[in-house]
Amino acid sequence: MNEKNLEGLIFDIQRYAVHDGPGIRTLIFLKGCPLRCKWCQNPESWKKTEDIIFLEEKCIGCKKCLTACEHDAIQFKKASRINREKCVVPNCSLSCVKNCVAQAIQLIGKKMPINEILNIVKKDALYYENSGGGITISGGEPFYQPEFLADFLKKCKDEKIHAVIETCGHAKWDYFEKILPNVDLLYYDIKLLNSDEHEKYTGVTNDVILSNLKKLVKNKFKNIVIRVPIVSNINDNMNFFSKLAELMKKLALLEIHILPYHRLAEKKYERLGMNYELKNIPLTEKKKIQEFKLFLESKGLIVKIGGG
Amino acid sequence: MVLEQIPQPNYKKCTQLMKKKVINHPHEICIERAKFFTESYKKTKGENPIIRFAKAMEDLLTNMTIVIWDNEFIVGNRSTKYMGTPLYPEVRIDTIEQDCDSYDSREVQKLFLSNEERDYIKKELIPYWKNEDQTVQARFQSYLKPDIKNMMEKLVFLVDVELVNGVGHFLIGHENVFKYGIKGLIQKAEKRLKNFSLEDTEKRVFLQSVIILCTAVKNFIQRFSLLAEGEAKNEPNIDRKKELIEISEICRNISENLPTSFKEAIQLIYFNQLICGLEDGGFAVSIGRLDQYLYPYYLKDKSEGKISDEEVQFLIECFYIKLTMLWNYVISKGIIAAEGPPLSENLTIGGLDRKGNDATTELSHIMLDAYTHLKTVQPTFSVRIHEKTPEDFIVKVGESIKSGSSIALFNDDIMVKSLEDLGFTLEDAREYAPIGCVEPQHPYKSYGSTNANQLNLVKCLELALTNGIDMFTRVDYGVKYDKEIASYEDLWEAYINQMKYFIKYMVLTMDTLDTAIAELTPQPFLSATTDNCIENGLDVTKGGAIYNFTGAQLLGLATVADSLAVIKQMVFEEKLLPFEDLVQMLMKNFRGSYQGKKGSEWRQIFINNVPKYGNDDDYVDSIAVDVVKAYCTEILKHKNNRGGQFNPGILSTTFHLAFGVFTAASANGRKSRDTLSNGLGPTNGMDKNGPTAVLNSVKKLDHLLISNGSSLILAFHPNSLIIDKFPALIRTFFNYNGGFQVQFNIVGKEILLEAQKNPDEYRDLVVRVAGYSVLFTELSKVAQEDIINRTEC
Repeated sequence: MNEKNLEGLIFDIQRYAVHDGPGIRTLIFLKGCPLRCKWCQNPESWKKTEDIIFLEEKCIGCKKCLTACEHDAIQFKKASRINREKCVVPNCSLSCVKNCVAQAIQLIGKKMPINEILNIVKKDALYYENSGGGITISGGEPFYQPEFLADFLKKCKDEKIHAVIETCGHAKWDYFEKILPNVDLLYYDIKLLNSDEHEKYTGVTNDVILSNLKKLVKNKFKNIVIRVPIVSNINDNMNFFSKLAELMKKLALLEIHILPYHRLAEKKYERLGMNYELKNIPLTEKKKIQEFKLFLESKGLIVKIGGG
Repeated sequence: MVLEQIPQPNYKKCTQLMKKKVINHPHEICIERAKFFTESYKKTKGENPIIRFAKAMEDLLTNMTIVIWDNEFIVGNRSTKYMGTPLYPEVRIDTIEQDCDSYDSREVQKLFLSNEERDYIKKELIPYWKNEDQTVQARFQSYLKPDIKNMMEKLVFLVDVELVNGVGHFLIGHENVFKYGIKGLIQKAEKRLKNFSLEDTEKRVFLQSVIILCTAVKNFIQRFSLLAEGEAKNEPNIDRKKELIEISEICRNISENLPTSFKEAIQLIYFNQLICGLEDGGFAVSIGRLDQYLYPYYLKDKSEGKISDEEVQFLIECFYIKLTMLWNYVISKGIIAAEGPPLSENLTIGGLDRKGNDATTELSHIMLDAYTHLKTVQPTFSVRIHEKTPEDFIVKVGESIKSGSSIALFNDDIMVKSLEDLGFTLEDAREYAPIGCVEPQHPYKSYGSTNANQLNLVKCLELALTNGIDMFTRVDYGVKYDKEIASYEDLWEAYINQMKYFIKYMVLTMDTLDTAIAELTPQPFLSATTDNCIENGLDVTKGGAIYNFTGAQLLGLATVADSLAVIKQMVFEEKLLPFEDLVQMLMKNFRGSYQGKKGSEWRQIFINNVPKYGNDDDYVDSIAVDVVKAYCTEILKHKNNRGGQFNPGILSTTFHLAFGVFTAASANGRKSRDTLSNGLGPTNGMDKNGPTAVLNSVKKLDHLLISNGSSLILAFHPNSLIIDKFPALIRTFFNYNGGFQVQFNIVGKEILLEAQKNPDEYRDLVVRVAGYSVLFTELSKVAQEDIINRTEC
């Protein structure tokens, strides 16, 4: 018997998720990502370790954090309380978080044993059953915690819970191979097809990503949906979509989700004390997105805007 | 001219215009009812009060101005003004006196009237009824024993709903009117009258009141027939002339006989609603299962080719608009707590039939389509759902909700069992319909006064903490607990003692009021439509119906459960704070310092470190289960003076706001004077795990015990209500011993704008956008604008 109860580093669990896979789902966000996409909506997922954030509107000004921090990393002059140059989180006692009664300083990322996560997941089992739903593992990049992921998926399979994984594809092939029997559906991101551009905007080339995708198909894993974030001036052009359609046709992949970029993450960057480079880029026009959709449909693909 | 080219009348456009007129028309006070009542009461001084009431109704129905408004097909007016509302001085005159100078100048819900009308109110109406000891309010006050009166004035409980303009909160026995016809009801009463000897004065008086009133109703409807006939003669437009002749024929027939067509049936239902609303000025004069009542007429007319689905939908839309024209004014003092001017005429579609089969029909679909199209504020629209409800019907309901319709869904599988436990036969239980907001009763066998009482449980907990002293007024009036509170179990016992104590006084107060009502303001017409009243010779207000209840609502469920959880964990388990310190802190509304921390810091700890109801956490949900069970079982022990029992419900209307104003701070972090929690819902902003977690928490409660119904409102952004996932959401909540009722607040642009202005009120608002979810209020202004802009599409 497998007695292991591995821990995952989780930064959010959302119940009643209705945009990330079939039916009603629970979304589990794993921390850590090899990519640094400039448009990333979950910057709190990047690091493999815990982060802290500051929520100004929750602060009641009790100043308990000021005396609690043993690294002198709290400042009360600026809008943000955390001096990121001095802060050593998570390599400290996390006393600022512990002493913040108002939860204005919060820890992002919690080590959770598989059983604990499963208990939360199972609370909505009847909703999955009645709607054809299940869990979706997102991130971050789920493959960044490969052992946990493999074990967790195995346990979900044992419980007959439908599992979707959202991946950027940038992971060792071995990891894919190991989990495939326990995954029902892969949401596979393709951001750019030009490798140099890919490196410029995400920090890595797309070689591994494309090679993994081909291997998946070669291994007859067909339950793949391609997901594309559309970001204006980066990939919102017909050239990209026409190449992507070609690739999908070659690989006999049928479904694609287009996720229009939005600015909702701006505040997150602020709270993490991070710089948000895409602050002022325009949003891609709806009309243009419709054009891409029609084009992809004309190539025989199933297209959804905003996932599903 | 080629005839075929004349377009068919555009029904949909037509009803939209009618709706617009109704919505934009200012509200007015109509004094005709009060005038005829006053004149009549002057004439009948000294006679039996029941007969006086019936004669006043007779004078009113015989003499009031009747109107057929432009282009309307369903006719009947309760007021002489287009959007007018009558006055009910026989119930109480004090509120008319308090308000009459400010009707047209108050800030919200303005009511217009002419100077002559105001003069009449001041010079005739008020002096007469003030000297008349026979208003319900005056008699109630005179009957109240000093100790009961003293306790009532503490406002821990309320009995005022029955005293607004009348009792309200009933279903009219439309099917009995269809079965007997008005003439048949008169004959039934006449026949029964012969069976009672002269000594049975009370019964004879009742039956005489029925005969007087039903005869007046017959004549009233005939007046409409004559009016329509007269107007037809002068009508130049040929189409309208034909319509008026048809109206005249319809009214002539249904004034006495059984309805023979869909048009006659729906017109008769409207008259029933109107008459009951003249007889009693209370809220929630409910319709019940309209799709069931009308289905035989629909089938017959359809098979004879007399009517098309399009015409049926048109008539139903006209009916909804006419329902919207029946509304009640709210007294100035009550604006915060009242249900608002709409009457809460609850209309139900779908559900089971008497035999347990699915009763959803094509007519249910048409009624839903009509409501989706019009979205009028009336009727209050209810859909009954059970295991066998067709999927396409639930999908259509979901689409309607997503389009912005305000629809409540009811779970037959729970309520039928619950009503059986209450004493209904299985067949009767299957025929239930909600009254007002959510309160189930039988359409023609019940008198439920379903929103009679409200009990502030948060105040009961407050008094338990102080051993009987009101933290707000510092007055000592609660029941004493002779032990020191040293454990959670002690606190629970002290709380239960307070709860039982105030329930006892609530029941005594209610009995006194119900006695006054039964003596002075009977409901002969409603009684005639209700099974067994004529047979027993008893008015509904005296217990004539088969099923008799008094609704008693629990207020503040989540506030109490969350507060108890905080005290349990912080004071008795983790021992972070002495009990006395907690009490002091609440008395001081979180000011001061305790154990080295400020009250404001403790408040944050209470909010953030203890589980809250609505998050699917057993620690606190189990307390909510206990609170509900203790309340319901206690309420069910009490009998009312109509031979029935008190019936527990968990719905707030808006009493959670009113009660909040004089309730001190609570241990869940609620500040003094803030609102209490609403119905079955979590404390505002405290449900952090989405709708399935809320539903799971709610499902843990014993819904079979909450037999007067419960109300749960879920707020959704339109993006999060996915139609093909909607049936699964509903079925999972309803099945497996699920909840009784759920309704949705689909958050549109206005709410989002409101949430921007008052973020504290909308902390729980989740906006989900393709793989990414956020709490709306935690977003930057720019991001919020982004979402608001998307909401348009």
